[in-house]
Formats: sequence, structure tokens, C-alpha cells
Amino acid sequence: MIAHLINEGEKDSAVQLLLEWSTETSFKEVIFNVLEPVLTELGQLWMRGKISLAHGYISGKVAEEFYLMAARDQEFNLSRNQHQGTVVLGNIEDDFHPLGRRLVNIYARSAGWKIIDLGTDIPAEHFIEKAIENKADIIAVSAMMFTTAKNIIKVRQELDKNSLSGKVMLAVGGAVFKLRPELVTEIGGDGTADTAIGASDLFETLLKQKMSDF
Amino acid sequence: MHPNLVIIACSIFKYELELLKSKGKIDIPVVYLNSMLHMYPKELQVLLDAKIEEYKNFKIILMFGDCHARMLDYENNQNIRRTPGLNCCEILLGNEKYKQLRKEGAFILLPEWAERWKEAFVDYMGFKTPKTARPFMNEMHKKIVYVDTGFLKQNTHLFEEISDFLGLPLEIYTSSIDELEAVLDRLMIESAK
Repeated sequence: MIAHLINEGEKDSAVQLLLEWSTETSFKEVIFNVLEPVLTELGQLWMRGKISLAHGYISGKVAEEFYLMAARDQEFNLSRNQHQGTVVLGNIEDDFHPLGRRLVNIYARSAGWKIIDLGTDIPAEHFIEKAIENKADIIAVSAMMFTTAKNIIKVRQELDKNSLSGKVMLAVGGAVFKLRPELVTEIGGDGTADTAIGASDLFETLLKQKMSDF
Repeated sequence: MHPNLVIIACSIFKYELELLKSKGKIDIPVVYLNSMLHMYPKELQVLLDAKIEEYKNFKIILMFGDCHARMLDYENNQNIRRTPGLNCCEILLGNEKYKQLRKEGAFILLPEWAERWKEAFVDYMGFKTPKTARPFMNEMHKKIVYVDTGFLKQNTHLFEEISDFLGLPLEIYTSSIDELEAVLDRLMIESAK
């Protein structure tokens, strides 16, 4: 039903239906048993090119609005992880494709991560400055194309230069990494996720990796 | 006529290339792939690979941006040269103007896509109504900039229709194709060596 409404572009009706279900059960029940399975399925379809850009966008907006409502619910807030860690997020220099990054922001925040979203076209040095300023655990960088993904190498170089490699983990994501997976290590990334909703799991893995290195 | 030299181009450049052909500035065959493949990078790669294979005995000029994950790898083939640029807008406008417009929050619309805007936004991107298209475009962009290269008569009705559907003001930027012509000249000379 939710997937159908998203397919039809009926964002408000989808949010309303989720809200009705959550009053009958709870926000937590609806998020874990309805919304996240739907988003995971849509993410996989997106990865295989089976849904349109509009569907990807609308599913993100449905999630964003419902998570914001859930965040105002005291019971839901008590039931979730409050602070998993801090992530500095942005599109790399010359990259102006914000959709994936915005979805990562929505899903990761709802999973309890503190997200510092820098926006699009962010130079490597700025990621490092913000990571230091916010004592970030992870820098997450998005790039859609090969040309722009190569600019992420500069983030790794800046991490090395500031002796932060291993202390601040580097997550990378975007369409090009799905189609060219070897690129993750080529440009110095510590890991990637196939879908935006998978970013929280990736951050957890990277955080554990960081802890185990100390 | 350069023997065994071909341009394989995205159809987004159709108007500009056809004009250069009609003026005798290009005297080699031009083969087009549908610009709507921009939304399907995997399919674009398959079709472009097939087209390159079809012209394997030719020297090839590719007129594409970095539109699929392995586009830049073609440049390792000594018979292939590609127009420099991240995407079609940068190829046509040059790096400086392209970056300026992007930093201003512009969605850059080239003539072929302007003509096919419904196909692009409704059929391929799935924005069936203004209700879904407007918030998406407004979150990503501040304005639409139509690049007038002189081929699509400035059509007020069309521009109003696009602007209304996408919920953004539309500006017109007049651009010559001299830079594009110069790049193609250079690539044709290099390919002939």
C-alpha cells in the first residue's frame, strides 16, 4: 500500500497512512515493520534501475516527514539509539547531485547519528576542518560520477596529512561506486553502502573498525 | 574528408552538430545515441560499447560527458578521443561558465532537452505532475537557465510551460558554439595524425 502510494506520487497520503498506523501501534512498530522494509525494497529496485528518480525522491520525502514526526514522540525517542556517533557528510568538490546525500542524512539521523551536512561541491580541506571542529568519527562523501569521485582522493590525502586516517573513517557513496566497486579502495575509501538506507549499518561497521584499531 | 573518422555523439548535441555539418565545418559522419540514456547509465554503456565495436576500424571522437561509470576508460584506447567536460553543459559552455551557473543554482537546459522536456521529466524521470516535480526541482535548484545556441526559436509558450511545471523561473543565456567548434577541430586534427 505504501509502495503503491509512493509509486503514484501520493506523498501526503502515504505519510498520513503511516501516521494512522502509528497511532494504532507505535512509531517504532511502523518504522521497523513497514517503512524500513519498504524503503529497503525501493532502494534495491533503485539500484537495479527499476524505479524512477521521482520514486526515489518521493520515498525519501515520505521517510523524512515520518521520521520528523517520530522524533517528536517521546516514546519513540526513548526506544532508539540516541547518539551513535558524529558524521560529517557532503558531496565532493564539483559534484552537484544532492539526492543520495540527502537520503543518507534522513536515514542516518533517524538511526541516531549526528549528521553535519555540508551540502554540495565541498573541497577536501573543508571536510577535514569540519571533522576536527565537530570531533567527527566518520567523514561520508558522495559522488555520482567517476570524474568527481576521483576528487575524494584529496580527502584521504588530507586525512593522512593531518594524521587522522584510522581516527576519522572515510565512507564513500554514490552511483559510480555501485557500477565500479573497485573505486572505493582506489580513492582511499574505508567502505561504501549499496543504498542510502544501508549507510547507518556502514557507519556502525566503520565505527567498530575505528574502535578496534585503538 | 577524413578517412575512417567518425563522431559518436549524444543526441543532446544534435542541433549544434547538424549546423556545423551544414556549414561544412564537419565533414565526417556523425552517429547519435538517444540523450534520454542519461537516466540509464548501464544501458548507455552497453549501447556505446556496441557502437564503438561497430566502428572499431575507425578513429572515434566521442561527444559525451562522464555519463556512465567507465566513460573515461575509453580514452585509454588510442583510437578514441573524447570532448573534455563533466557533462554536456560543460562541454558546450566551457568550464568557467558551467561552474558559474552551477554555483548560482541553475538547472541548465540545452535545446534538445528543452524540446523534449516532457519526455525527460515525465516519462524518464517519473515526475508525472507539477506537484511532484516542483518540490524536487526547488530543493536542488534556484532557476532554469536555457542555453540558446540559436536553434530553437525562443518559444515563450514552451518556456512558460517548462517553468510552470518545474516551479522555477527560466532565464535565457545566449551562447555561441565557437568553443565547441574549436574543440572538435582540435580533436579531428589529433585523430588524423
